[in-house]
Amino acid sequence: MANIAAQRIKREFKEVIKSEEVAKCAIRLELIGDSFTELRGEIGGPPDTPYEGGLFVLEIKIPETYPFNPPKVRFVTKIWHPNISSVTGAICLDILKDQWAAAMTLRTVLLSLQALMASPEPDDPQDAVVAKQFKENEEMFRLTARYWTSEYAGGPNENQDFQRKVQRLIDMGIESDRACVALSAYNWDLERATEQLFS
Amino acid sequence: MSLITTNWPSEFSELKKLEGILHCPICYEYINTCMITSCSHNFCSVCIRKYLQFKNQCPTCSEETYAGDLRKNRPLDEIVTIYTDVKERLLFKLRLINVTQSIKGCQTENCNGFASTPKKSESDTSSDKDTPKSEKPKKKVVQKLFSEKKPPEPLVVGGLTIPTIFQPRKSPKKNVALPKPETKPCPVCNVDVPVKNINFHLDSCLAAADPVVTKPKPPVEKRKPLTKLVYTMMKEKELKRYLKEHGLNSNGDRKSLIWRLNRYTVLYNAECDSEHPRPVADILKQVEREEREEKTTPLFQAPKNKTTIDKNSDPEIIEKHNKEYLQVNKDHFNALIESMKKRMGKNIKTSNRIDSDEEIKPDITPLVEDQVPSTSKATDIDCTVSIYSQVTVVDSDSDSDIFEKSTTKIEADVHQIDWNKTKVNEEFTQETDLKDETVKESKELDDSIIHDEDSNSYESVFDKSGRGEISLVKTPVGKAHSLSARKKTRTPSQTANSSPSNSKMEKMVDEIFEKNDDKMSDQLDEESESDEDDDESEDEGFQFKTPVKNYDMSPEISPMKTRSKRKCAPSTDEKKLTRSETRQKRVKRSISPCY
Repeated sequence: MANIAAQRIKREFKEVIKSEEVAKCAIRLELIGDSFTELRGEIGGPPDTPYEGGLFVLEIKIPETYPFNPPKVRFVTKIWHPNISSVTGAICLDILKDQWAAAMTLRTVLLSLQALMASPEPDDPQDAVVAKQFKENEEMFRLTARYWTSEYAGGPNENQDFQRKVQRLIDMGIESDRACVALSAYNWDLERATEQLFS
Repeated sequence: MSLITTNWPSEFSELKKLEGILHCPICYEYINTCMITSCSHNFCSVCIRKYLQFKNQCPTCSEETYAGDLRKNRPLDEIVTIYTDVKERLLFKLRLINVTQSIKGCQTENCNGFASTPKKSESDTSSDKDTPKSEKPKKKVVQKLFSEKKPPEPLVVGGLTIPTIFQPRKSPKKNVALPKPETKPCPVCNVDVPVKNINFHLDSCLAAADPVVTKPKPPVEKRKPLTKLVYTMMKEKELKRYLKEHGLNSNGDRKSLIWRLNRYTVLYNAECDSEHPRPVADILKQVEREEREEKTTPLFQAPKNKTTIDKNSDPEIIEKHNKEYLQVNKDHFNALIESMKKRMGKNIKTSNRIDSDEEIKPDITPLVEDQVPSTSKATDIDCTVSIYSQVTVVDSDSDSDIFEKSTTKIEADVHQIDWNKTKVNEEFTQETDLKDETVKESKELDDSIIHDEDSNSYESVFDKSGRGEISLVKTPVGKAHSLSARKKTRTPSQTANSSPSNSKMEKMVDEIFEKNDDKMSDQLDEESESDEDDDESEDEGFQFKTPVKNYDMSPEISPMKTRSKRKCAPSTDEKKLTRSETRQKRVKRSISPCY
């Protein structure tokens, strides 16, 4: 790894570890291996959002050309968000693409992601299905996002109805992830989801 | 800036801010040769120049910035040097004060701890009030500490004068030493030098004298930044000449030549900004060193997931390369297959790879479509195609013509079509009928048969007996119906029965090949990458060898592979059967007619 990149990552790693947010359990950063090329980030779901209470794991890959090019970040934890792919975890965020500036750090990236979770941008979506739901039925979106948080990010679960519906599909032999995706995409309309799954 | 690691006490938090300002936001080191942008952000000269190669904007505020907009910011450089000088001393003092305070704290504790001591102190300073009492010892301690420190302070201050302290001792020695050996005046500087040191002295004297003669400062000032040329527009010869002009290594491919020039330009220009530029030789060395360093990183290496062989080269070489590629990437393919399996459930059945040499029996398993509803959607199929190396897609373009797209296995399909037309197939299907019961137990096949009811095409998935190889075949409705009418299912390894039909098939294939125009198509698709696998080496060879192109293919076919395109005359009772088992052998055979 280029000298400058490794040095930067070391410093930034220390920065995150020492930062106040870590004390608040809002963000965390771990090294994978010794090379400083791959890291594992964790961010807590921001309060007053459907993601509250969840812990979201991120995969961070540092390119050779860091900090001239942005780090590659992806959600490992499944999340229901208009700007994050519900399938791959790919993130649509300008600072991770063309708006990246060398003065940004891993800490600012993690905080930006938290901010993104708090304020979705459905007009510039990564996941069109989620974005559509967000625009057409925001309440349904919130419920779905909360369910996903409880299902995948360890958040508190309140929605017994959704759980029952998923269980119905699981009983039909559908994998739970697929069932969850199908139901979420069809606004938890069990019939339509089933139709889609078996068509 | 929070990346600053110096632990300034909280009452001096401003110093932390100051330190932040003095750090380069790119490398997070103290700014080295400060350059200021038009938006008044400061960076190291090297850092900002490197950054501007990626993007013409300010790394801090994203305002459009070009290398020409950069200006030197010497005062900040001076501040950095002064600050770094003072910082250590300041920290030392602060620590000292902390220590004194803690000692003071201990003392006062002690004073409080012993009932008698306060009395003593009271008796000592009987007239003093409580507060002065406590202050006095403090002052004493502080005075003591300062007095203790003062000796070191002069030392520190004297640190500058330390040489003078030691010089007298040394210089007499030198003076003593000098007269002893023979001395001769240096021809350059006319200083008397011991004879044994004369060569060394001359070297340094000449080295020093040269710049003196040429006036070192003017050349330094004259150093003008290199202009950035449009290297991509330059011919390789020009590049090499340019490199040589600057004393750079002109070996390597175009990409590394350009890289070298870029890096040299950056470093050279950065040195131009510096007050005391390093000699060019140093820069050249640094470029070399950095290139060596970066060559060891993957960035500089050719990407591993691409084969770099020329498709026109010897088929054997291609085959060899493909085999190697498959070996190297086998884990990756398997991982992809695994993840796909997980994601898609059991819709698609994948194969265990045949590990090369194993003889493949010419099994013929005419597979007939059952009207099995499939849970897969078109998108699923796309995914599969891209992931599973063994998947063959034969697409139909409705209407009269049958457009088939396939990977290399297409000949197999061709075989089957013709073969189905002839009686050979009939024999076969009879045989398979006999074996139907045994076959039916393999229920997974149903999963792997994908029937797209809406469209007028079928995708059928054929499984390679025992090995679970799949090919997805899309056929026009007519075909499919005829297939389904026959209600055949897969027959696993019918080794015994296959040989006669094979020979017939061979003939038919030959005919087909003769009839068809030889075209090469460059159509590529995602499939191909995964398409290569151990047992496909034959196919690989084939792809490059056979210019057979009898079918029109729809455009989604594999990259890297020239694909055979064939157009079949539509026949009403066409049956489409895939027999992947004999594929390899057939492929081999089918090569011969083309050559």
